[in-house]
Amino acid sequence: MGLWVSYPGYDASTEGAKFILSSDLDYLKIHVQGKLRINGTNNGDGTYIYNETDVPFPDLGYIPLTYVSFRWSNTAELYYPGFTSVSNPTYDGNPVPYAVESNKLILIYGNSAWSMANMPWIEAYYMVFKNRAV
Amino acid sequence: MGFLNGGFVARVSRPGFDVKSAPDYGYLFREDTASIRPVTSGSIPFGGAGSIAVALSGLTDAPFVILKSNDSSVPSLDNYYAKINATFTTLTVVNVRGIARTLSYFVFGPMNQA
Repeated sequence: MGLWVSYPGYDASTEGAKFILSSDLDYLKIHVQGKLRINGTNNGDGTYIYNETDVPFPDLGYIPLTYVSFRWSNTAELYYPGFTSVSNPTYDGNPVPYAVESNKLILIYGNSAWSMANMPWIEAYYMVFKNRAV
Repeated sequence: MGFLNGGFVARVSRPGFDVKSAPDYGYLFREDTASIRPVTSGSIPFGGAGSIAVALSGLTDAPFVILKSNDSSVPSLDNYYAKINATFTTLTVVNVRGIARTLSYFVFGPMNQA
């Protein structure tokens, strides 16, 4: 038993149909989606340090598929895959480390004390899918 | 489709999962779970290094974007990548390395967008 919904003009009972919904396949399903601003601590020399920050979500009981990207200003772009869009040449292109557990994202994983000039905050955009990563 | 634990439910489970007891990843459709759907996609032939802007519309939050190259290499900031502006209206696909290839992009958004 299954459920198949085809596009208009296709017979859902045939193998070659073009499907809108097929119970033979999986789909990307959103568990949580949002953004979180992480304020840095001023070092006193114009640079800022960002500390490890948790983003809790309802426990799935397994490690989910996720996407996280960071930006450092209201006008900065988001990158795909999830690089950080910082302009400081020292850090440009380095992915901000994050970890995934069954009930939370751990941003700035390892308390890695990022230090970036003139960026008092960075903002994480995240998607946690119900789909299982491992 | 019916009542479960006092509430109305409409669920479709994946093959091998009981629709009444499947874990979260065992469903392909649930009445309380949003899925994402394709917003747009395309393929861009590059003759070498460069970037192409693609107009987007209807997005009110950051989409999920998957990239692919016909040379089977993976995206990175020193290979190829994409970026989206702060208002989610322009996706820029960037071919960093100076080689001719076709880059494909797939933009996904929640069902209530676009």
